[in-house]
Amino acid sequence: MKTLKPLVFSLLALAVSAAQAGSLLPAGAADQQPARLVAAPLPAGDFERQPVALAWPLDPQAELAAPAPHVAESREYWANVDAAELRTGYNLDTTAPGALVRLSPVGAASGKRGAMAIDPSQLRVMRDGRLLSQPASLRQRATAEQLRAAGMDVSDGTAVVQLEPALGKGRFQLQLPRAEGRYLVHVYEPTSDVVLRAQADRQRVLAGQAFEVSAELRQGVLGMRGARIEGQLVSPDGRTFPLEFRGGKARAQLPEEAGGGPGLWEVQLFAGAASAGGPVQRDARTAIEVARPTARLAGGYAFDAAAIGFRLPVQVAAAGRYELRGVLYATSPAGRLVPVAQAHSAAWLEPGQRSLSLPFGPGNLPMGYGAPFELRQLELKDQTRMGTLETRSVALREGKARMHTPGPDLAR
Amino acid sequence: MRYLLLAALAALSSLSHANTGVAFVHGTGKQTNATADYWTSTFVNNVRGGLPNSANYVVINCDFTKYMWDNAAAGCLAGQLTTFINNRGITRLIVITHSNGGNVMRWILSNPTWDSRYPNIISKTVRVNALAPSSAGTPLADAVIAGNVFEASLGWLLGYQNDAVRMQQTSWMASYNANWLYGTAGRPALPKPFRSVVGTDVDSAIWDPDSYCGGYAENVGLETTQWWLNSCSDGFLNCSSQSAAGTVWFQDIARMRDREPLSHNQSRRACFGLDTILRADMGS
Repeated sequence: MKTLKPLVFSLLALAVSAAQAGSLLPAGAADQQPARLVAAPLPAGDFERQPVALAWPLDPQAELAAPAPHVAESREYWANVDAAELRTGYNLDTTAPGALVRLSPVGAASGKRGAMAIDPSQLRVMRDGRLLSQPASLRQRATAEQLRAAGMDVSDGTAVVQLEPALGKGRFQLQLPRAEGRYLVHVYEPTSDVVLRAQADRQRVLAGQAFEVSAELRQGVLGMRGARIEGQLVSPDGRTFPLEFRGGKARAQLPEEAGGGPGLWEVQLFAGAASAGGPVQRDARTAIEVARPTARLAGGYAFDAAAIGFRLPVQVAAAGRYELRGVLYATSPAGRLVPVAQAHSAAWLEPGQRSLSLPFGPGNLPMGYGAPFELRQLELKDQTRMGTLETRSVALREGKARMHTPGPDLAR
Repeated sequence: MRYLLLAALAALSSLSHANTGVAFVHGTGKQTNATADYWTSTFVNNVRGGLPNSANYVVINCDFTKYMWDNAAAGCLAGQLTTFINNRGITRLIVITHSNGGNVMRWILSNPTWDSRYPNIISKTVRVNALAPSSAGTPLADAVIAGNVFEASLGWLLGYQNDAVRMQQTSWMASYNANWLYGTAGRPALPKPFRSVVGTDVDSAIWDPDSYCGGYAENVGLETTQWWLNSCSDGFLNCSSQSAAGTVWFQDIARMRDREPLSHNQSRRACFGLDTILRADMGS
């Protein structure tokens, strides 16, 4: 009887709140909401046409929180170098001992011979124009074949070497006596305290909207004085849009027609500063999802208490497969709102006023848990164009306060 | 006490009536004979030998050079798993993934409405044993792709065709984990257990016979690539990436013979007793 009581009260509470309708809560500052819709064309490809829905229980003790946008940290930089420079000795500026240097041949310039595959044993290191003893100046050597076998998908003819850490830091010259053509030099300093950090202020953005990027070149915990940061926003198909940094921040404005293709947009950053030990360079990148606003939530909902499900009207501007996903929070016997179930539902929708259901199912509600409910982390996605269109961290509250009943509280 | 006993008996009874199968899901690359070219038949045979019916296995061959959601990747995986489930009458599916194969399987578990075949696969799956999954990407992908930014004469990335490597950049996986995938910190749990085996180091000393398991040449490269990674890594992935989604089943040194670490290439081979542990897992 003890275990039945909470069930009876839960069912009573559900019955009271059956067939409720209402409006979504206002979007919060962190939520994404399309201000306009676009009738984007249907991309090429085979897409699922059948409606599909699935829900599963969550651990009520789990702490759910939206992850912060990725923080990119770079201790590396790249440079294009021609053969003449490498034959005489290319200046490598390092800020810490043991820098790794990757050399990759680049395609030949018109009318000239292309760069040859690099034999790492042919690389020499000089300091102040004086050749250092070989092979002691380089500790680690690896060929393209060895790197590929390790899963690093480097280009043909690449070689990686590591400067002997005992040589310390500062300026070296890297020499390849038989260099021909052009090379890409990648310098990575795993133990350096000079780091370029970059972060976008959000995980995702809609076409036509803007976001902010923060970047700082630091040495230890302090920003480097006189550091210069340049950047660009790059689309998946290679279009670039310059970013202007002021005070370590830049505003990135997405074009109206952005989004819709596979892959993410990138913020690419290039930083430099003069330090007591010589010039310092760092390059960094971070990614952001961009979607075209092809549909949005219409603002209302209906709640089926018996099925523990929601139906939400959706305004659709472009034919496609759309998905609703969200987390059901229920009230525990101790009166706390906790996550109890995750639901997804998708269907093919033509333009117009449509709707999508989000059934959680009574089977996913733990014994003793019930109304009031909240629908959180609600997302409307365009599966055909791989984009997140609308998000609500807290979308709605539903159901009257439940009567408190003694019973096991999984969330305690 | 009586209830516990009854529950245990019920679980045992359902297990004895179950038809358990195992699927081997490879990592990045396009495979046509993953048994020979990716896993080795020794590994596959040793693991499937732990099944009540050792014929209930499938070795997946798909194109995992594509984005995880691509029809050639997750679509292909869903097709081969569905055929396996239907043809062999599988009611309990254990999925063993390696590296990026974990991301493709996690795509299916996290996006059940993407494809009408996904829900049945999810319902049959009892767990995913993810060997060295690249759940948070790898700085090695960052390094390769960033180099391509400078190398491609036609523009950004246009010369580089491997979408799976692009996808496994750390900032890209952070985006996919935040927007499309479950199981990482703060995100909802996956509908089925996803537990990882974490490789923590690489041995490539020429005098150490352990360096030769899985191929000496492969481990030599991993010693170099490890410099791009944290002190805890398998030469291709940081331990933090391998541990980012689901739960950690075990770290290599906790369970491998003589506390040997598993390099990224050894975690798909019969090295240091890994195959024996997975074989024992087939019966539970």
